[in-house]
Amino acid sequence: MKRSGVVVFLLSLFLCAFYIEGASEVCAADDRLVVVTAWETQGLDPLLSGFAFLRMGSVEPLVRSDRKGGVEPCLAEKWSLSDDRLTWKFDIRPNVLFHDGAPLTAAAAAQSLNRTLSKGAIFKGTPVKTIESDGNSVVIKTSSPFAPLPWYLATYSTVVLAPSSFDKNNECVSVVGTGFYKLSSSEGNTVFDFEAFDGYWGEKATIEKARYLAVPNPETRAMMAESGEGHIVIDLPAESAQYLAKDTDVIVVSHILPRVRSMILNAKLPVFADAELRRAVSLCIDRKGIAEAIHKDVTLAATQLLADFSPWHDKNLSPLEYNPEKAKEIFLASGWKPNKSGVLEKDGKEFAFEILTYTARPDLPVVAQAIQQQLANLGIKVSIAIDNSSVIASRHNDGTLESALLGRNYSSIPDPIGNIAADFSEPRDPMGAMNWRSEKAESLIKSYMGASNPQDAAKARSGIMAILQEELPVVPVSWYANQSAFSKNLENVNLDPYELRPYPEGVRWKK
Amino acid sequence: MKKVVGILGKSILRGLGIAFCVSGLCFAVAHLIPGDVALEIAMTRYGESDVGIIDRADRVREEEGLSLPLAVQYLDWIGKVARLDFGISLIDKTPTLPVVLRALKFSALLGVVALGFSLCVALPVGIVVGLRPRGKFYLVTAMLSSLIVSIPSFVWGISLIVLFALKLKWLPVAGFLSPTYVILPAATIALTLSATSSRIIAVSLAETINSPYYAFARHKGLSELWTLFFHGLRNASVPVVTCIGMQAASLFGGTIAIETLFNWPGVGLLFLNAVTSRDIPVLQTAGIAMGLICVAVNTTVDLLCLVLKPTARLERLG
Repeated sequence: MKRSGVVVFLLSLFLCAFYIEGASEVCAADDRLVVVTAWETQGLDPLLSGFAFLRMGSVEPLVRSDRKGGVEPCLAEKWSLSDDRLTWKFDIRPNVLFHDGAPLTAAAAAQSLNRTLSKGAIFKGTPVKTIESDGNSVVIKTSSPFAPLPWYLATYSTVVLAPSSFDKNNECVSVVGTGFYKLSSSEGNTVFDFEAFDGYWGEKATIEKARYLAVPNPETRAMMAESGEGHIVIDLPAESAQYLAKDTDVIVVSHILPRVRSMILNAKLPVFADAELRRAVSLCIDRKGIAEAIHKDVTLAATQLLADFSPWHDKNLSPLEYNPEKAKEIFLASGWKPNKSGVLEKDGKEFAFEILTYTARPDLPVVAQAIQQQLANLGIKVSIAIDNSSVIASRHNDGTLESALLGRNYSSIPDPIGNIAADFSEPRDPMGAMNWRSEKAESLIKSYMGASNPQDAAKARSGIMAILQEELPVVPVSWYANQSAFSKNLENVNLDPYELRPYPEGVRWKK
Repeated sequence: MKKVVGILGKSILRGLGIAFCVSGLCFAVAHLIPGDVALEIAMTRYGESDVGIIDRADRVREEEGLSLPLAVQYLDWIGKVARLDFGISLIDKTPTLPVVLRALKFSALLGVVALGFSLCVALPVGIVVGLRPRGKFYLVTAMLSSLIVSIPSFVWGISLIVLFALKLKWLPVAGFLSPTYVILPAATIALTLSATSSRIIAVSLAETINSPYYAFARHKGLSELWTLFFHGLRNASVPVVTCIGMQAASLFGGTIAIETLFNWPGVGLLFLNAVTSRDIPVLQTAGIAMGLICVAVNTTVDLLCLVLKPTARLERLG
């Protein structure tokens, strides 16, 4: 027995030593800024994990989000478009250094962007033809006018990395960017440590060290905010945010995101074929009730596809409303009458359909249940199916999807046109509108893509949003909000609703 | 000695068989879950709202050979494993073996500390209760054990975090970057482990004490302490060791809720993430590792039982 005890003890010591040795490189320092988010990375490649390095200020794109849906200069100090609107010239900012000490050149930037182009990433489906360097400029040629190009360059897929970041097979082996923080060490896909970069071209980081910590469990993130282990904690559950707001050491902020919970309706089904019937279904949904009861914030009730901070929000559109009486009238006028069981019926067929949703966003099944009950009050029979999100895509493709409730992000590019084009024009994204087509909308999307001036773009944008609001191929339910908490010891925290600016940008400890 | 070699030989064969079956099962599960494997991988890699996700999924299907027949994919993987090539992750393109070994390292650390904590409580409590099976202490510990086991472990975890991290501020909430981080998750696991172990120790010891050979040892003049240690505990330890062995095996992969709550990067969390993102090579490698660990733990338990009570063990082994 004694010998067994000694063996177990030695084994424990060995394991502890093994473990501590591995973790010692990333042990926390007291003055380190700790940013806690939900998102684990998928390695170092910016095409997969650039969001973490961009949001920590380690890598930068040629142009960046201006926090209002527009873009502003970053590594490119200015840009211009040729008269034929097919050639873009981005002038590289002088005196910018990569973290390895090498200067930023147009050739290095073009190499980095060409890698993105060759991987078929964000440029897939766009008219981008070539990316080359010319003197101190990056020259991008397109096969047709492509007005939103600068927005496509402001994403995490299009950040500029030094040539030393890639091996001979063009795979990313290290993250050597130009940002105010340089990556110093990492542990798995969840912990990344950064140090202030002395050679930064802009306003240098005032906090010497920072850490990106991925904690997928939302309750754990909330407790880390409360304990002070996380100084900036992103994406908290509504209940936790309400609780933390009472904490005197933490400031809770909430901002609406360009992300919406919406219902795709299969426009081939008899119950959704007519835009009037889709509008009637929309009138049955009490969005304010859902927003208040489930999301704990009545302002999240969607009045149209995107919230009012987005340039795509059109104040002139009539807001989506809750009006069951009006819905009843539309159903009756269309021949849908309640049968003995109170279910709407026409030609012997009941008004029934299935909502497919998924649990990766835990609030979706709850919202689906609320919608189910609200529609049942009007005599519509709804069943709920819960599966993986990819099943929505598969069933969209094979035509068996009746309707789906999903969370849709319209800011993977800060100008939502990328996602709107994918959802409402051809080729269609499987998470977009189903069996619905509007030539007018497609033509307006094309006009927006090729717009030669902001006025034309705004006109096309209004036209697109009006069609979507009128035809409702996708029924918006509620907008997403990002509830975040930060320590009261910090000042100058300014979070970007598009999540394309660094969390620690300009942040400093209070004196 | 022959028996020991026999046990080891059988275990190695059993281990290989189980590892083969578990990896096959993981492969089947990844493909049987509804949804498009390539699309799930693309969505995990690039985000579900990424523009052109279908093109990306087609690219994934092409590059990773997911359009090949399932049998071909599986046999291809088995062939690679035979050459000790466990493949690369479909999500982040890193070799799967270091990823799995890292997770196993964290699971092993958590498991050893949790078992250590558990035994620190269960041994004294179990012995005291076993010696006086109808005392008041028995009633109290029986009630406490039932209470601990009937409440889900993550509730205990949250309670411990609230007490020790948020109120007392003695320990960190979650993470894995210094030794103090292991205390709360290990204590949470140890709570339920000790509740079970202490009961088994108590029952086993009580049975031993009431046995004729224990009474004979006392009658032939051995002291109470000597009899307890060299006849009571030794004979009572066989079911206890078996139970602890099963607990140890279950700690590899069976603590997903605790690993999630404490952000502990163990093999359970790795398994869960690999299933949801359909990272088949990681799933298969982790399956092989967990199969081998289960067999290794069982073999160790068999050998320990052999040392503790050779006759009974050999009889059972035939």
